[in-house]
Amino acid sequence: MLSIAGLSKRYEDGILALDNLNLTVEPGEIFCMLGANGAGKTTTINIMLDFIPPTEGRVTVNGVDANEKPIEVKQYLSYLSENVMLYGNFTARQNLEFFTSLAGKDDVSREEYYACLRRVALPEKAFEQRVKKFSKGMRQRVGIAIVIMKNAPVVLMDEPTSGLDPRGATDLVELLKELRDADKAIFTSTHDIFRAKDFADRVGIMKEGRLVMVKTREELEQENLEAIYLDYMRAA
Amino acid sequence: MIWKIARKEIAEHLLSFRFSLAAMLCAGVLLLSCLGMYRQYEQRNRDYTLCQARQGEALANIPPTLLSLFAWGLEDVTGRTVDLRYAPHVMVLGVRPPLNPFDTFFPTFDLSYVVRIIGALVALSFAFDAICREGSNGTLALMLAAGASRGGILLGKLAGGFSVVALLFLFPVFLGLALLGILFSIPLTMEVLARILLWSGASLLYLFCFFCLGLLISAFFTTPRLSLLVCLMFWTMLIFIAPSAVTSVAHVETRLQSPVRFAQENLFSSKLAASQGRSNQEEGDRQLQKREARSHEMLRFTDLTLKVLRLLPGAAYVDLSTNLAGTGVAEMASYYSAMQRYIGAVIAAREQKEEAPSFSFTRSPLGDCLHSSIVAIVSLMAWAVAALWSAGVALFHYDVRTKEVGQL
Repeated sequence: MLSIAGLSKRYEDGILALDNLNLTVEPGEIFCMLGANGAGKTTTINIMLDFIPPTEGRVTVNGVDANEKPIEVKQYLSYLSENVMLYGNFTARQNLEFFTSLAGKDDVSREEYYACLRRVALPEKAFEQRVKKFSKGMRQRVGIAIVIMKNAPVVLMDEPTSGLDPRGATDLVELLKELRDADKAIFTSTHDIFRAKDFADRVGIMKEGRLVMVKTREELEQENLEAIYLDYMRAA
Repeated sequence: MIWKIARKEIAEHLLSFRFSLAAMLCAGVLLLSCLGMYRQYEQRNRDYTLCQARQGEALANIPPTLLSLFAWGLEDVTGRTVDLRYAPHVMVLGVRPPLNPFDTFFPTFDLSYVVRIIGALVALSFAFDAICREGSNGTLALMLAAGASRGGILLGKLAGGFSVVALLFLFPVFLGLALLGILFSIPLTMEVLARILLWSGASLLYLFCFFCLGLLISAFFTTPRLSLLVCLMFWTMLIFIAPSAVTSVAHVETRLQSPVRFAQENLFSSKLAASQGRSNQEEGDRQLQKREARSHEMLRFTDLTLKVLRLLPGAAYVDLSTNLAGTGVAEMASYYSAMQRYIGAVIAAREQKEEAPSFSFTRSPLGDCLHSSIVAIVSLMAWAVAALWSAGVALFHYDVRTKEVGQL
């Protein structure tokens, strides 16, 4: 379970990027955070990963404080960035093997890696090809394979569908649903309102560092998420 | 964790174009240096045999050392043949063959030169983007998110990257030696082997300094291009500019009279003494005192220059490698005292109308060479530790966020 309590972040230049954020993501739940550029979505993910320290508040993953025990907390976290960059001279399988071994899983066979790459729909011939010529979509698929292989209880995704073609984005959404069914707590940031409505169990809207709205899937079925989002963005 | 990252680093480097280029450069240059320096050694060895003194001949003949292949140093001074028939006037016979004027223009192409110049550049080229490249393309964030610690990443990169640099240097050097051994049957005694191994260790320590410096710069800057530029600046500064600047400053600071001026003053002083009716003995003593004071002053400035130079990694490495090869400053001092003793013995024998004694000079034992190199070893270690520690601090504060997020 992912829990955020009273989280604030003020940068050195005085900009308040996060203002008292409180949030919980339960196992088997997809929480989707919407917001304009600079709203604080990625800052939240960066604090969860201990890339930057919070000014106030705390993030706990499975009861472990992310800033006090950053190495321990990584055991319970998987991360997929907006633009997955891998080692260009390594093949897809070698990249997957390296990041899986960093997560502490050493006894994985080559067949298991191949099975995982098949699961994320990477073309078979690309398994042993160097990734430097991969498209963004293919790299993103390897990134998802890394998340799957780590099998952590909490998954963080920073705009995972950004720049993907419609088929790639649809495949990703299907994989997210599979991960949810496997009882993972998933926190994802996105600009894609339409897909968010499709796969999220709860949707939050961030504006200027504050979480201004949270609605469940049931609530959203009765409302127009796009209109709500635009109303919040236009409001002073 | 460290081993996993090191293994990844090794594999990544071995697959890179940079490695192929560096391997060709290092192998070519080091093998060329081995063979070229061996040819010089062989020629000087033949000259030494030709110049062997006959019974009663006043000739100081020192055999060249095989280790000059590794560090030429002051071999021109300590490894030569000197004719002392007209002592105290001396005639140097055995200088470096062939008598090529370009030897003066360009430094000797020994293995230490290759390590000092090209080795440092290769070490920097394998480290300059170790952190910032991964930082700017996002793999550093991915590694940290996967569970790697910053310390583990630094040590893994150090172990992996430096193993590749060490391989690039040690393989051609030992291959070159093996080739020389097979082709020319060079005599490798235990002492020579021990010195070669210690020289290899000293070279690795020097390369380690530059690798750590490269890591520090790569953890300090966010883009590989900027990091490369700064690395090249440091390389130029530490290898070429700083040592020359130190010796130039020492020249400026040395307010010693020139040898011509000194001789002129002595001549004037002698004439004045004669006109004032002072005894030759009295004037001789006075001039001797002046000469001693001048020598003392010269030694003081040489010592000061050496002390300052040893603080620079390039100069510390030169000091260490030449001392290990027996061609360093420590060897020069014992050579000069042996020569002074021999000149005295030759003059005394001539006055007694006896045959000139035979010249004997033993190169300093390895223990003494190491003892003279302690400051250089400590200096190199201090550079490595300071650079590595600073790289750790810089990486600890490194912003792994992607560019877009950093602009928030």
